[in-house]
Amino acid sequence: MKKILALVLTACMVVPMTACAGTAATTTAASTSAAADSTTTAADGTDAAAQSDATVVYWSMWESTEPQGQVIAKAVEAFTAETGIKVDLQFKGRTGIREGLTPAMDAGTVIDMFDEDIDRVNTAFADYTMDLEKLSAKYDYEATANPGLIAACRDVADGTLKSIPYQPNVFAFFYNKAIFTEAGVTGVPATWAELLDACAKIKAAGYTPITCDDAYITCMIGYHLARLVGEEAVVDIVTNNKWDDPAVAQFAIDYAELYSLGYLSANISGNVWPAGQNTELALGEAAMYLNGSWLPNEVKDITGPDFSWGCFSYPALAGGVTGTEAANYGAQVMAINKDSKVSDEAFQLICYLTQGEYDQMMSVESVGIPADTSNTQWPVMLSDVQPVMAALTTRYSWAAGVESNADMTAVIKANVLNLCGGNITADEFVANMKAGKS
Amino acid sequence: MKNFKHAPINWKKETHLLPGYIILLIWVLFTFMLLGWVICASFSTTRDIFTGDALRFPTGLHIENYIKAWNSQNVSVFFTNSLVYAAISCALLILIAAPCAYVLARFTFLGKKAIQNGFVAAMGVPAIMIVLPLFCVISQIGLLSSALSNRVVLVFLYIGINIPYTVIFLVTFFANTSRSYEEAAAIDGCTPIKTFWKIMFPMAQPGIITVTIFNFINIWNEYFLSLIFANSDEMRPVAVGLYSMINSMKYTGDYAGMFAAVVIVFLPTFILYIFLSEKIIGGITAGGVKG
Amino acid sequence: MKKNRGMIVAFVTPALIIFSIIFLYPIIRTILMSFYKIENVTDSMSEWSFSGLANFNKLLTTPLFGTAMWNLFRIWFIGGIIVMSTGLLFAVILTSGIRFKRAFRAIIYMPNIVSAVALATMWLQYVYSPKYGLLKDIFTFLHLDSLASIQWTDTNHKFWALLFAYCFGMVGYHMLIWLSGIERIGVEYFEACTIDGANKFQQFRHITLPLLKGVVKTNITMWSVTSVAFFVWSQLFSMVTTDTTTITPMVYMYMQVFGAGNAMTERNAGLGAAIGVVLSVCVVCIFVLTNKLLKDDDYEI
Repeated sequence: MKKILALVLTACMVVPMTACAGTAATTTAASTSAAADSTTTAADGTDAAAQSDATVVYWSMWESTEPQGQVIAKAVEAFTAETGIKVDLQFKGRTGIREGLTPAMDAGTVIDMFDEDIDRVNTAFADYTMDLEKLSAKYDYEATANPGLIAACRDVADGTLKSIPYQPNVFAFFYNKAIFTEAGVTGVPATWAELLDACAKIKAAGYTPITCDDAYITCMIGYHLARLVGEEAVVDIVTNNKWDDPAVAQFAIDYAELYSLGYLSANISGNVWPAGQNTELALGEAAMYLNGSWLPNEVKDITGPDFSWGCFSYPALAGGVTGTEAANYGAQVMAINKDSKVSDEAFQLICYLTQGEYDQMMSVESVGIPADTSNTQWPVMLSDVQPVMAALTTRYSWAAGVESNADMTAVIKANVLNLCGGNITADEFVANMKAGKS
Repeated sequence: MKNFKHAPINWKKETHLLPGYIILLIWVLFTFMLLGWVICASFSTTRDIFTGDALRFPTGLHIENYIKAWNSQNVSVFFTNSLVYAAISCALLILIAAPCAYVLARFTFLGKKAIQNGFVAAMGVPAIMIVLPLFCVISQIGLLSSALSNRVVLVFLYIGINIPYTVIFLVTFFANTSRSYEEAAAIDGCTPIKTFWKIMFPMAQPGIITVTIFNFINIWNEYFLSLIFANSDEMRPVAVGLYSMINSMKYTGDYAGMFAAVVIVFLPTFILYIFLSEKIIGGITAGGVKG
Repeated sequence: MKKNRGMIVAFVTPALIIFSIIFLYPIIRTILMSFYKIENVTDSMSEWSFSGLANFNKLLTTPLFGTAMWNLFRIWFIGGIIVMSTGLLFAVILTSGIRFKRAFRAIIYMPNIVSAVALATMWLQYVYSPKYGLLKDIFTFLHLDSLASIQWTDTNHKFWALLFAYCFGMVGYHMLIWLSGIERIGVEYFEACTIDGANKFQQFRHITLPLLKGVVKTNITMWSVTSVAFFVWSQLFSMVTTDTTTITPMVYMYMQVFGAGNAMTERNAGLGAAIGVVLSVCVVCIFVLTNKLLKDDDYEI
């Protein structure tokens, strides 16, 4: 018994030691294919001929079964067939990228390109991204790219273009057009007073005007404060605990009013995502929800294709610093590892994925916004989002910066939920925030 | 398996046990309602789930949830991987951990407390802090470059991660067994090592069985370690594939599909549990050695 | 019994070697990291900046971490009592000679195998739902309308909702551990004392319980280890942003290591390491304490 045991253990320990195969390498064998002609869409001819034994290793944040993942897989296949550049596509999922990408790159794993949210890539992964200005100029990427998004990409990376956006999204009020029509609300509310007006009509028609889930409730206070004093001040309030700012008191009064007039869902303080959006908004009981443009896609199985989606930017407030031209808009972005040896090929793949046919396919399959401005056909469910997005000039970060202080977010969330549920008054809200408790 | 037809029902005995039956039945009923909802939801549509009609099937049974979930992943490849990883790991775990636990339980020696506390401390450290730095080091050494070494590393990690747990679990089992057996065996001329494998090891069967079942299910369901270390699809265990399926259903709002995927993940684990607990426990009667 | 040095070394060494290879480097690294400010958890040491005890100081002075530890304590203590006693009760019932023992055992253990994602969704969207939830239906049926209208997932109730849901899934696991301990005790002991006229309670108090001391230690240790790692359920009950009612040290640590949800907050993996050290020390303390309080006795079985 002991002999067998010893043998097994020795085997277990010897094999890994002798299996060192030099530096970490990709697991795909690089085969040299005969076809060396590449059909790049590039304008100029430097380095245009792709080496047919180059492999681009692409770690994607999607799961292979998500619509985005399926489109990317198809696109990659077509790309390889067209250009001869091989792609090692790995679907790592959210966890695999958020938690596993930087350790892998620290360990020297060959990863040429990856994607994630615009903020995460340009802050958390900033040290690993390559400057893409030259490549972008070479392939004339900005000719058809959304200027607002490209500007945002430059902005979060301190002025340099280090990521290419796709799957854009915008955060605004989404509403059920059928309810608006039935309640007699014409147009969309552009100011807070108009919003209250609309709520009154909707309530009179027997529907819940506004609902939310715990996951997004901080966005409501974030936007409200940012409308009043601008995002920078919001970040200041939250990080330096300046809760005696009059904007905070104003928010509390406004939302306490919403509660007392019955304009908020009775379940709002207890809604755990996705209860609010799935059981109230999607089923046609509630009218409005401050959410992202991914919402129609998330609830399409519940709403069916006939649901008429409307969209408007968070209303302007009296005496406010920013108005409806400001909102959080962003995208998923693709970036290239600064140590990548095949950056040119990787950028070609990026172009292939985010422009033209496959960008259109992505938009259709995932009910998302196309990244390529030459794809003018948006999904029907998002048609109302187009004018909202076009009118945006100022970019908020997520929740307008109200989540900047990790130690306070949970407290803010608890107090806002209690305020919206009528468990505390406006004064108590301000007092709680000053004391830092919930 | 007991043949109920032949054993006469001792009603007097059963009535004494009635309170026990009632308590268990209430709990079991509750469990059926909750898990039953999950299963019903998996045959339902997302809309029906969120209108509260999951149990009423207004639109009939939807088997396409399962078909979609099954076809979306290359499940059969993953199954073999998982089975191999888990079986090898569990067997080696017991071979390595049981002797260690026995020695820790029976003898006092220098470092005994330190070892036990070290094991417990290791269990308290969050997995992220263990897996990610390890991955960096292992990857830099180059152990993940070939398919075979990747698999060996995976199995090695599955074993290693579970050693503290298995050892600590088994220590108390060995500690509570009477020393009279070893004394009797010593008198009979049995060497201590043989005493362990022939007498003490079988005596701790309930504990060993239980911990093996737990280990098997843990390794079968191990997601984070596998995600970080399994470089390519062909060496992925089933957990990664199926959990990625569950995640993708969640992100696309396909809750009915998600529940179908969950049932697909749950069934093999449950069947394995039944198989392990019946075959292995059934083969070893609790008697063994009478004092 | 004669101490056989060779056997001790031979039996302990394989486990020790593997343990050292896997855990030694990460543990030492974690302890070191807790004294530095680090951005990425796998940054090389050259990118660390020394901060001494600042991380631990921050943990002591951050109210949110205090809330997290308080939540953890309540989960460990109250949840522990609920799960241990319910598990023990079921284990005793199952070994008292009832029929269908295997079926009961399998059914009670089932929830432990079902993925937490499904269980949490089921609890949140079915049992606790204020619109069509199971609890609401039951209470309405019993005409307990005030109970029926409680929002089980709002700030006042969320912690208890979470705790109960979690405990439900854990009972089966700990019941199995109790079972393996009780099954070791020979049946003839129970037969002997039934002959002597002892009823079920007396049997339990005087025979089962003392002989289970070792299993009690195992259960407490395992429960403590899984409690300090409480993470997935918190995340499922509080998506995107954390709640004061569901936050646990692991959740807080995750925020420090990977950033908070969608907002890009400042990260400090060294602070995360400090939390890891604190949790590990807690578990070791509990382990040492239970060993001291429940000394192993050598019973003749």
